[in-house]
Amino acid sequence: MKTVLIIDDDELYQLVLKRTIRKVAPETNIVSCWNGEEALDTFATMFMDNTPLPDVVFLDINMPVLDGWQFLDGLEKIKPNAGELFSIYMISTSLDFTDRQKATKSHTIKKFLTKPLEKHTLEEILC
Amino acid sequence: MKKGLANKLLTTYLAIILATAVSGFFCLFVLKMNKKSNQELRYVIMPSLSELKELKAVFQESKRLTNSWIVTSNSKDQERLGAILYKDYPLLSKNLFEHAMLWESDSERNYLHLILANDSSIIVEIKQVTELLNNEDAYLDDSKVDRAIDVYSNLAKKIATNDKLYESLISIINFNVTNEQKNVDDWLRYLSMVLIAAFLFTIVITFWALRFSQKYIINPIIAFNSTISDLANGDTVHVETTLNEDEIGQMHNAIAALVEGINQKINFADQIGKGNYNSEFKLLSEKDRLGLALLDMKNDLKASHEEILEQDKRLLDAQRLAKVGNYYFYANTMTFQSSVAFDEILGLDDTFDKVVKNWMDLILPEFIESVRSKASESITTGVKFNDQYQIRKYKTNEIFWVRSTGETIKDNSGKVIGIFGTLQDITESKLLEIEIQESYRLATEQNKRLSNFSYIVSHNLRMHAVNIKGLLSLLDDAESQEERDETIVLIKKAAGHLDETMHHLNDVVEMQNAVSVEIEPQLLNRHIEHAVAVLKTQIANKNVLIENNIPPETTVNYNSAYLESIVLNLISNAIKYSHPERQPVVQLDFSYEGGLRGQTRGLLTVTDNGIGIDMHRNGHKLFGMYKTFHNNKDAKGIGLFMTRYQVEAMGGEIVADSEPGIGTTFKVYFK
Repeated sequence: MKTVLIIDDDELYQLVLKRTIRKVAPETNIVSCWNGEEALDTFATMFMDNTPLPDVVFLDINMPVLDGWQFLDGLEKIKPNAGELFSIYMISTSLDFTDRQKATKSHTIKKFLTKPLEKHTLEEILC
Repeated sequence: MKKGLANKLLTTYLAIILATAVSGFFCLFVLKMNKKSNQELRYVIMPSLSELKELKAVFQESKRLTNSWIVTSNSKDQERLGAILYKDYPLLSKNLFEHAMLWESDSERNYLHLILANDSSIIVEIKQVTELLNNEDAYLDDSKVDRAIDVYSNLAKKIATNDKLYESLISIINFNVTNEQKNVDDWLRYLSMVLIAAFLFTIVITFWALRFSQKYIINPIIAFNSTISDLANGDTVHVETTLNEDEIGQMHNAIAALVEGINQKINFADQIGKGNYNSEFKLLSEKDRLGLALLDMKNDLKASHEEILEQDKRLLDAQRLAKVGNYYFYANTMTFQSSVAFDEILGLDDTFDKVVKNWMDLILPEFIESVRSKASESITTGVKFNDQYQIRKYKTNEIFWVRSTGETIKDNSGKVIGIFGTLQDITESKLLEIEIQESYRLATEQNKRLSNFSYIVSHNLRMHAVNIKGLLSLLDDAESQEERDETIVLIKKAAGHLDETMHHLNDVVEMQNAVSVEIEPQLLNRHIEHAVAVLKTQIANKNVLIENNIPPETTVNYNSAYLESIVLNLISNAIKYSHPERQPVVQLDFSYEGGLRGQTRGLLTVTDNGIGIDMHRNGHKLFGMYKTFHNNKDAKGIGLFMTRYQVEAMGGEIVADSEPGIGTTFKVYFK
């Protein structure tokens, strides 16, 4: 059983993603955060309490307080090379080429995906 | 020429000649008189005197011989007496008579005639004696002897008497000789006196002539020589005129006139040299070639000067028009010379000491190091420099932009001795450049916002499309009616979000497409009061304190709707992001600040004590569309985007300063 952490400020999209994940992998443990800052706090707690880390992170780019990129910067500061501990998928509705290029060059991000995530994509990731 | 020098000299020479002639004539006269006297003495008087003495002696001898004749017959005496009577006496008397004819005095001649008459009588009686005693026998005749003795006695008396006459005449002749000699001596003495007088007169006249010549000829000629030598050496001399009317005086005045003319020409040439082309000059005469040449030169120079002045004026006008001046910096003295246009640009006048330090003091402090560095680099490397900086105008302190260029000047050894360059007032172009840069910045930001807007449009619309697509996919996969109903509710919600987003986008597009926005004076406090009224529920709920320090009559030229929206958004944000642990305070102030061109512009300040924003992290996104910085669910990320657009559309500017946990200040600058 894998644990998935969804970091996205769009309530509706979180709901759609959660339901889709449950359709594809019903056993998946799903955790969510509304923005990068909340996610960083969550990881900080995990590292501090030594609790199990998520296997997969779906990270949105455009979020309030801390966006996706700022979250990755913060994560690198509290846990260098955290991308080796779990798979971070950057997902966005953005078709901006610069975001995609930046994600491709990042060693922390496993893959850049565009919304909506299709069932077969989730199956590849989670199954 | 009555008092002419020649007349004076001629008179002097005539006097000398007259004196010489008088003394000469007198000398000749004396010599002639002397000669006459000598001739008379030699050929008349002295022979006469001698003859008289001989005759006297002859008669004394005759007396003795006659006596002897009477006493005894002596042939020798008789022969001697016969010689006297018939030879000596006739000859002597004849000669004397001839000489007496040359005597000047008739009385003496008469006196001689008397003597000679007596002589004749005596001779007769001597002859009577000799005839009485003419032979031996006669001596024997006593009567004859007695008679002879009687005759002899008589003639002896006559001889004695006549001898006295001779003595008298001889005395007279001697006296005449003495007189004649005395006359000759007198004439010789007179001659000596005349000669001495003539000599003295000549000396005096000559001395006077020498003094006269020295005073009126030699000294003036020496002065002329000195004057002409000075003139020949090019020296300036001055000669006073004289009242003397003689030739030297005329020559003196002629030279004085010549010198005065030369001095006038020198002064005139000096005036021309100094550029005083309006100085007057009077020709000495129509033949004054040098004066004419000077006048021609003056006119030519004046024409050239006027042409140069005209060209200078055009150059100055051109420099003024272009606001360009030039300068020459002297490295050894650290001073500079500058053109009129340069001085006008910097407002320099006579009170400004043109040393580099004073120039540097006018440059605004933030540019001094750059200017000094570039000038030093130019002096060191010899390359031209070109710099732009702000500088204060001398005395007025007006600040403006200049462009300064410079090129080093080197001596023969390659050493830098100065810098020649230009200074141009580029305030207009610089401000235009700044305005263009500002416009470019605004356009770039506008473009960036438009790009961001298109991204947001793409992102947000796609976000809802993605959600709807996902929900539709879930709807297809729904395993129960309940699940389908829940999904449909979510689809409707997603559709609602899409609609809301579309409305936002529509508002933004409408705002950005507004062709003209009406601007009119707005009472700022009226809009603040309206915003407070609209937000009264939120204000009441959070117990917000509104501190409005804006003067009641504060007016700004603005679009009414924009101003209302700006004020409402800023106060609304201050309330929305208030700090939960303290009473929210919103403070509003208004002031004036200096703008780009020195004009004042209004400044509205809205300060709150809310939760603040991390400017380091989010400052660049503060006014972005759909950018939110808190987990506040009311945050749409559209308010400040709209506010910024409205402020900038009115030509103003909005900036924010914030500190998390302390509060935020928004500053709105009105154009």
